Amino acid sequence: MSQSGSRKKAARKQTRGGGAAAVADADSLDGGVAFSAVVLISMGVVMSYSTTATLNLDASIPPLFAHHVSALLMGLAAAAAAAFLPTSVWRRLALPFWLFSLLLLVATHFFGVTVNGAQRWLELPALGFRFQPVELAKCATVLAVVAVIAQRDGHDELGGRRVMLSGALALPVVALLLMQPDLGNAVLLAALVALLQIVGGTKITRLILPALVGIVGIVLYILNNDYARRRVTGFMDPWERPLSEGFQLVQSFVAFGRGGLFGVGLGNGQQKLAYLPEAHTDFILSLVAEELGLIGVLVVLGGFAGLLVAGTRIATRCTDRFALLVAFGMTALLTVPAVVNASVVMGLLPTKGLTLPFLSYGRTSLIVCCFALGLLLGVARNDESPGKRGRHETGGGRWR
Amino acid sequence: MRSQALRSAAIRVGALRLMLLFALLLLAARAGQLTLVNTDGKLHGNRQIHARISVPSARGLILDRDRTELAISVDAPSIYVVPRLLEDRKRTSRELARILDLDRRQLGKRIEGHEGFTYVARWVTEKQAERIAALELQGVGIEYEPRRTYPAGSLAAPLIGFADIDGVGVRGVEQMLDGWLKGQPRVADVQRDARGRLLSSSPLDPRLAAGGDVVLSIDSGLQGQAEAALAEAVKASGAKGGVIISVDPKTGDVLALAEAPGFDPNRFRHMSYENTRSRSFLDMVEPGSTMKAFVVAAALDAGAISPEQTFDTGEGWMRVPGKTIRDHRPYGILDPAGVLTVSSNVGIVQIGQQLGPEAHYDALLRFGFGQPTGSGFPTESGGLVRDWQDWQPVDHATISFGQGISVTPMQLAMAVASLANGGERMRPRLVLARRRPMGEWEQSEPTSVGQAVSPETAASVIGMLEQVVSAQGTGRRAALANVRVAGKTGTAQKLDRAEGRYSQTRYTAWFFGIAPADDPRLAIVVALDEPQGTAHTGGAVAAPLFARVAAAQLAHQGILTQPEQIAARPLPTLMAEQEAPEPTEQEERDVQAVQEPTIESRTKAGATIATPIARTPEVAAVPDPPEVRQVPKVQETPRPKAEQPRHVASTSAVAKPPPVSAPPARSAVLQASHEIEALPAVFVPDFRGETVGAARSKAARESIDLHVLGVADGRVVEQSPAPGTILGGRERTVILSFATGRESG
Repeated sequence: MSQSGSRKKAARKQTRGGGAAAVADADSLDGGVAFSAVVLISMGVVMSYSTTATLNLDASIPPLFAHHVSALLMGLAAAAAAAFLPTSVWRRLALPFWLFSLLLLVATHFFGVTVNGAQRWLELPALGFRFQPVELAKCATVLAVVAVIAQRDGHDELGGRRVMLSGALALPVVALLLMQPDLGNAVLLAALVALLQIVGGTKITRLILPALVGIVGIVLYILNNDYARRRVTGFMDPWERPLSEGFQLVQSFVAFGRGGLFGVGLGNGQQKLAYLPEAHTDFILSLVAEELGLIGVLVVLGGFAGLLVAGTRIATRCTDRFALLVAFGMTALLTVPAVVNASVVMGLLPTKGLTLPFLSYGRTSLIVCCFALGLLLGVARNDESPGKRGRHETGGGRWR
Repeated sequence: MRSQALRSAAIRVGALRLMLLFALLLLAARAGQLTLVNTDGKLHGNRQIHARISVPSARGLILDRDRTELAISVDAPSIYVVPRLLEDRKRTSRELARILDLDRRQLGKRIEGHEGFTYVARWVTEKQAERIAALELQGVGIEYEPRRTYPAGSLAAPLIGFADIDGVGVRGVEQMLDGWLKGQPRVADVQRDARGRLLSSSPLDPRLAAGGDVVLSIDSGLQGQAEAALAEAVKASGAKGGVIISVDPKTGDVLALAEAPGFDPNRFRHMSYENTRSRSFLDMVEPGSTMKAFVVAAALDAGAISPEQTFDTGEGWMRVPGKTIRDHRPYGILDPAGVLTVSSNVGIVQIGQQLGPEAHYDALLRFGFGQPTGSGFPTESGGLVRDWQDWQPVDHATISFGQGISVTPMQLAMAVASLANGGERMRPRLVLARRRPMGEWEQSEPTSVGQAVSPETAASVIGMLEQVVSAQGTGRRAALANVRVAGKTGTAQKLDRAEGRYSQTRYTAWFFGIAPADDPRLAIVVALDEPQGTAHTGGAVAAPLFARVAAAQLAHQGILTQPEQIAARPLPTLMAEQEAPEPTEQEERDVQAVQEPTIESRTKAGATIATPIARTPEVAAVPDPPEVRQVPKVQETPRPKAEQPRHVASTSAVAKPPPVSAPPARSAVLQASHEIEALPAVFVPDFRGETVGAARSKAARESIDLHVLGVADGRVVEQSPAPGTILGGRERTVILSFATGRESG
């Protein structure tokens, strides 16, 4: 079904012939991904204004909103670059990119700025804002793992060596994240790597042991860490301690409850008035719920579902292993955190400190998400019609 | 075309996509549950944000009759914390305690004990608020809320009362009209953010929430004068406190209500609640001899006695079952006016007996005793008048002269005002007008509570009371120049609760007066609580205070006057050249009046100096011009004939306690001599060369009365008696003659 659809599209493109590049580019955009992304980015812009305006009432334009928009522009530039450069370029750049992000994480460990008890930010005067290397590291690690796994060695199954190698790429990053500490992103990254390994062809059984080790490690970590333990107890029964451990979650429930079906209206939300901590970052979905109601939440969840469907469709159509893994990796990078974040906000998972892609305030996150989106669109553009573009372009014919 | 590996990868991708889609579907369901089904969050949210605080509406203004502001509301900063948001509790409580001058440990406990919005200090100064704002402490905020302030400070404080820290009136007019003044404290849907800040700066037009304004009947100027005079008199007499109430008899308007000791309502937090009460409305006091006026009025009104009727007070004592009633000394035969003039206990008991207990009791109620005045003043006392059926003869007797009955000063003032208002008793009008914010003034009308006595009776009694403020009366120090004054003194022994009997050393000194007597504009009650020393009687301390206050208030109404020094009737000099015919009853009364007890006893020195001084020119009651040739200015003149022997006796008197069975008629001798001992003798100071002011203050130090001959301008050139003369007893008057500066220079 999907195969024939793509054929039709390819055929349409062919009949038009080699028109102006711009037209070709516009045509080559994956509609599903682009539409979903536009929905999410738009929601992000609107909600960012709504939530950050109350943080600085004196400003005519909320400074944080201006940051969000400027980051979005940078992100769109990064997305364009990612989309227009051939995928093979990213394959070559994957490992240096990973190394670079690893160095940034190490630098963060030594020179980073500590906020809320975690050393996660790097002050980069050249960029003009605090940079969060973890976001870059997640993307770079995914890309590097994809590059490693894509090397097939002529086997259908993913060889143990490559599994080890990809794990080895992720390990220092996860370790550095744990040291920050940033348990949420560490677990997320490990999960993403595992997903890539699964898609890459690893036997599920191979992943059982590391998964067990990880779970035991997480449990031990929580038991030995006051902060983490409180977050878990707050998650278990937020109403038990609505003013301390359960405060944030209760306030999130308040936002959902107040929102109802249609919400209290844009800008009318009250939970952003210092009631809900991190309202404009991690808990932005609560404010979507409060101001736009269930409808707004469904639009956001639908946006991610659309991104998921369209992104995985790109992956499944790929004729190139690297392109497939990149498409899946980027889709997962954008949608898995969304699922986790939404679960946290709605009290289905303990608080993690994960952002909601495209919506949460956070310049690094937004730029990297746009970049990931660009990569996804680039894969779609480059790899969708292998017949036309030719194998040499993707450079992945070796393991066909 | 595609490799097996690629296809299996696509299948795995598809599987993972399904799982993630399922997760998203689950999340959508969860979102539906949280938004539509589960109401906990909504309820909690409404609770926390719609913390329906009542917006503290600014209390209305309290103004005096000239619209001078007596109580206003201003915005005062209060400091609050939201402990949940505090970053550093230790530092916060340390800094706050330092700036606000609070105990650090208590503050710490307060912060620990709460999670949400909590006041730390209310009504701090602007400076403190600025310093705290400068600290920019997370979780510490400043809120402006209306604070009651009293720009005139202690002026009329017991009347105005005050509102407590939450803006609730708890004393005086503030309490009485709390519902009006506080207006409608709109429990507005004001919302706070989690830091405790109000979400909208002004959710309501403050004028809609504000309370109404009221205009009081008092006049700040008169009030201030009365308070100053009272404070001075309290200090001079060593009294514990005092009250002056001035009422417009026609309307019942309270023009001035001075109480001592006063307090500053701005500092109510440093006062004991008890000490902020209004003595005028709340304190029950025995009225003493002031009651006699009302007994006479009641008896006249009931027809039990006639104004011409006489009463034989005999030797100055009489027996009632269980008690001997005594006068200060014998007054012989008195008519009702004479009974009042000399304040004869024996006489008034006889009048009371003629009236009968039931009629007596009914009359007391008609005058407003035994029940609150209806002023509306919060927790106003009704005084204490026992039911007449419970009266033993001795009770009826003592009640006649104001013992065994308790009244509030305000009750007495309104009873006096009823006499001055043709017998019609008015309800005290404390509030002239009120208005809603932005509304029009609504006047409150004078209210009559009924006729206490007939207008004729009232006029008759006022005529009698004028004689009290004559040279022969106990109230002569209340006299005013060119204004007729009616009044009555009273010196009530206070009940010694510890010993269960009346104290011999603690008194309430009373005076009430009506001025001008021929066209009453003022009814004033003066009371001093426990004046010390020998000058503790109503006539000695309360009457002159009345004169001062009444003079100022009449001047305010365009009647120019001043307290007038009247020497007591100078019996000896008058008598010396007189024949001594048999006194008529009328004459006897006058004679007795001149011999008025307690205060105005004659002395050797007094006898030598006192020249009769001009008094209110016309008193129709006692016309006898031929008899007054030596005192030509005096038209109201007693018959002097009978006085000679007594004068002789009194001047040679030896001090002895007054025996119950004193020799008849001439026992006055002993009584008078008793009085002589009361004041220590003094040397007459040298007033010559002094200005009038200096002379007055010098005289005041020695408790000497001054009488000025001619115009008090320039410096004293002559005085009589001469410096160095010994003055004893209670009557000590020095006559001064002045020369103007030009003449003496």
